Amino acid sequence: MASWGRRSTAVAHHVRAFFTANKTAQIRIGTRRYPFFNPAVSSALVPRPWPCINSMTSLILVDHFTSSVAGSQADSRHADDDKDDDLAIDFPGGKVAYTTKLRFISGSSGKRIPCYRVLDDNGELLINFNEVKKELAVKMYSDMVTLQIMDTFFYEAQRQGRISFYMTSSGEEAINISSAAALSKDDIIMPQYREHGILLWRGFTLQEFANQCFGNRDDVGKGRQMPIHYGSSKHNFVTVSSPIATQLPQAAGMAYSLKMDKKDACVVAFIGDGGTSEGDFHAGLNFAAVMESPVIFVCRNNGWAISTPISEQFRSDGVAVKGQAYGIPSIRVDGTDALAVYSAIRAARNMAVNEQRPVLVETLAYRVGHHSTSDDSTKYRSLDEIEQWKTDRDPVNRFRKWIELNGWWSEREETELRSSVKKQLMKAIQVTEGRKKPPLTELFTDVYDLPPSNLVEQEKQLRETINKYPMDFPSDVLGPAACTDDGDWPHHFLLPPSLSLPYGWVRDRFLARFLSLSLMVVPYSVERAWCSRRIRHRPEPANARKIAAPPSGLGVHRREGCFGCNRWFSPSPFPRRSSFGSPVRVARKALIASEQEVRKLLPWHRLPSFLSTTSSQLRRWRSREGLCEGTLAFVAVPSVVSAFPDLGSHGESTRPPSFPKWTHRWSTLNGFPSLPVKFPAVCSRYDYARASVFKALSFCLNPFVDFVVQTLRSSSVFPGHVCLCTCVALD
Amino acid sequence: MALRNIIGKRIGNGIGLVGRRSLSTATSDVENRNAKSMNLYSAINQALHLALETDPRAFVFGEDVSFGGVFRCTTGLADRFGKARVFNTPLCEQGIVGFGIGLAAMGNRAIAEIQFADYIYPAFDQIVNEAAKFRYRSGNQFNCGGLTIRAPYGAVGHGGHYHSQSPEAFFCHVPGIKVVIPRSPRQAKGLLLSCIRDPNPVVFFEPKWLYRLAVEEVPEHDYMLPLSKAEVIRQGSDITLVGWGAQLSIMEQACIEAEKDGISCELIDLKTLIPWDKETVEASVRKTGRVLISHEAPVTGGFGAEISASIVERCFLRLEAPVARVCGLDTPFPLVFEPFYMPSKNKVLDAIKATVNY
Repeated sequence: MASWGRRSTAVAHHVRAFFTANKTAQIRIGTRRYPFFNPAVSSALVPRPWPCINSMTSLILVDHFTSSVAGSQADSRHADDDKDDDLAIDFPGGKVAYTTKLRFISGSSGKRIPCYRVLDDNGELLINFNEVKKELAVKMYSDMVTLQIMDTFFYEAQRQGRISFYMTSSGEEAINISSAAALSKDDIIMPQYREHGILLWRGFTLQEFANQCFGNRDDVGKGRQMPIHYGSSKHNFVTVSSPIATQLPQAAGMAYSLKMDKKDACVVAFIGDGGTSEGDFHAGLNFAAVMESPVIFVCRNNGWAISTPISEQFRSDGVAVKGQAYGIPSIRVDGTDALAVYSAIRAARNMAVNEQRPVLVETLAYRVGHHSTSDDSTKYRSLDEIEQWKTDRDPVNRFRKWIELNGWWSEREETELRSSVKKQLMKAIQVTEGRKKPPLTELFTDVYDLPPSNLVEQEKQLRETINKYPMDFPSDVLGPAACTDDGDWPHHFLLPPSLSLPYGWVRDRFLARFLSLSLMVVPYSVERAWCSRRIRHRPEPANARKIAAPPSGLGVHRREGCFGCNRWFSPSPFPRRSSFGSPVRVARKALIASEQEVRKLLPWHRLPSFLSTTSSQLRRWRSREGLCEGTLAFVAVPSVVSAFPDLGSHGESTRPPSFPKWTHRWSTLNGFPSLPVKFPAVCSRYDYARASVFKALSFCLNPFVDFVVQTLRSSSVFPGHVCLCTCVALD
Repeated sequence: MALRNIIGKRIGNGIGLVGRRSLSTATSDVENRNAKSMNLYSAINQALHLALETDPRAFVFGEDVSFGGVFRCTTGLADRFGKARVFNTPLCEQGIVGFGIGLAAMGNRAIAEIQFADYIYPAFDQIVNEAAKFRYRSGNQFNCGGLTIRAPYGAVGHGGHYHSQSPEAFFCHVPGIKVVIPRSPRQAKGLLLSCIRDPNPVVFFEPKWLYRLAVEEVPEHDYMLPLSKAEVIRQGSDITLVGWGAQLSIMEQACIEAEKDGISCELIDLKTLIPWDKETVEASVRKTGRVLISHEAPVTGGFGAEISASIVERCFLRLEAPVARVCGLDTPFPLVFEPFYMPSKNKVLDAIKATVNY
């Protein structure tokens, strides 16, 4: 009691002295001397009669209050403040001093919490700072640049319709990268949704980012969530979930587990300024404080919650001030100053881990980008404002100035970095677009640890529907391998990475026909694709079955390497892979069985002349479309006319496109950045864009296509089946 | 199946309940030899003791659990296992469940208590959007399967709006969680241990009316009862009655009354509401050709509707009468009018007769 009294008196004197000197002195001025005070001290401090109350307010409040509480304050008229101050009520939670002054602590402070920074606007150090050495600084800068470029690429990819959604970190790159740099890799990240820079720092590859955004079968999240909902257990980055602030109480629980395990690690939970209004913000901070969980709460105050400015979000002095109410040490940091964020997070981490308690860090960095690709922020804020932040306060530029001043970075390195990142991203996007979607089974797994009977039943029902109406469903999920685990088999030698089969190819018999027809009709694609992609890099398999050239002088007309080897008609050039599953075996059998039949049907002497025409035309087409050498192949796809009644033999239809999204997507077959979309007025029910590409080629293929189609239509082998040609871009 | 010592009428007499009652599970003599007569809260308490004892990574927490809980279910846990593993939390349901999810995501068994099921709604977001989707949304990289949320539910005779609700149907619409409701002490212990050890988040509703009222021989040892397995607790041939939790005792009384009129009722305890055991119910309805579902929650949108639809889908041609539902009224749970609101024995009995004589 005595020591408490002395301390509080001292503090009060200090505050009073300050107040006299500065009329706007605030609560914090007193407590800042004990920035991370322990609860015992804090409980003693909090209820002090603050001399900082705006005198006008207190007068009004006193007037208002005297009447209502006059009785209980009967003795306050003549009480001696100082004497009464020494008395205290011993209440659960700690002693509370009495006062006879009717004063409310102020709801707002005249002077706002200052913002910690290390670098000035020109990238020059304001204090002596040597926490960040050259190697670290260069990595930080490189990752910030990578993050920026990645954001640009994926943002554009969304605009082109390749992915459904994206959110950039523009303006907040430093928060992402610097906090990641300041943490240990054992620290668990509970992200909001604008923290992918941390994953980048921890080694999540650009390919992995692309996989998630495109939702292909390599996405560890199995294509179940919208783009940017990253998660990686390997990188201690808990999967993003869209609801705001739900991760905060969870972070408290996770950190409690770390505490129980006595781990040298903490949990770092991120949130935006808007999220602080959620009940879970309160729950998270309060639980962490009460349970003494080692959590760093990082609030990225970027000024906007979608379109709601912070002035319409809360009336407090930002977010840092809220920590104090929960008994959590808090700090406000300049989020555009990479060094300040780094040192603040590092200090916060030390405190959280060593003292086993939560810490709150508020970073200020304007959201330069839109909230997401679904948002146009110019509707609610001025372009000038955005531009000003973008140009004057860009965290990446500021950090670059600093490392350049140190002589750690040059223009040449900048150029190299940017071009290398761009290349990696182009490659990542190209690769990911070629990958198939996750198999349909993944729709039903992971709801529970094991699928219960209702899910088993529903999967069975769904598969029956798919078999009945294959054209209703996206082919890139089903594909011929939907019923097998053959993985990417069809892509390897029949289809280019950017294309998968139309929706119908789920049944084995279709697959078989597809195989036989494509091999039969399209030696060009198979051979070229095969020769360029596989044989060139691998020795010819010993068991390759050599087949004599087809009759009627094919050899004579063999040109342009179209028939570069003799195996074009046989399935045997494909290496025997033990992983080939039953559908493939079925296909092979069908292929071999139909081989002789087809030979009889097609007068092969017409092929070479056609192909010779075609290849030159293809080359012309290629150059006109801006495709590079070796990017073209075509496959012939058999189709059942009745299954796609709106398709003519050339894949043309007068119907308007019914799947604009798909259309857009398929239009960008030739790599990033895409060609302008040029669609002829054709569409198909299942794949408008592919049909249009087909049309682009059909002029040069028509004679052949017509010939094949007519032959097959009239044949007894494929009665009623039509062969469609479709052209695709390779590489 | 042995159904013994059904004493007392829960509804219809103003005082509430009388004496011992039990809805026991058939068990072997060996188990019964080591069994001890106990009420439902003690069985829960014993299960929690076992859970904490057998798994050092198990935690029990919630509002007021430290001193034993307002229903005494957590009595003695804090003393035995320490304040670090059994602790009070701030009064904040979304915080409790969120905290539990985080704890479970780190490989712990988080046993969270919501003081009354009526107060679980602030945690609805955490349960529906977070716990239920934690595994799925991460592609099975993360899961919070160790989470079990215990909450006392249902009428208690004087609970009014906010101490009587049966919110199970809300959670039955959420893929990714399991919903389990025991009917008796022996069931409660075995099912709770199963829920705690199940690798999926579970919401475990405890019939609070039975906490002290239901007394049964409960085996002392550590045992688990399977989830998603319904149990035929009374064989019959004329009509199938489906229910869960405290309502089963009412239905059981109705069955006994009906038997006097020569109606043979088959009574099924669903135990796990999702994912539920359709097959057992279906098999029974195929046998009897009639079905009645009864629950305390309001009839509209209750889980009875789901059972009804599923049975009609599967047994349409076998049904000899429309599916009957005897449930709570579509009003907020009332205080003074509670006896009128409840799906009482005679309401059930009438429905049985009407269905059989349809």
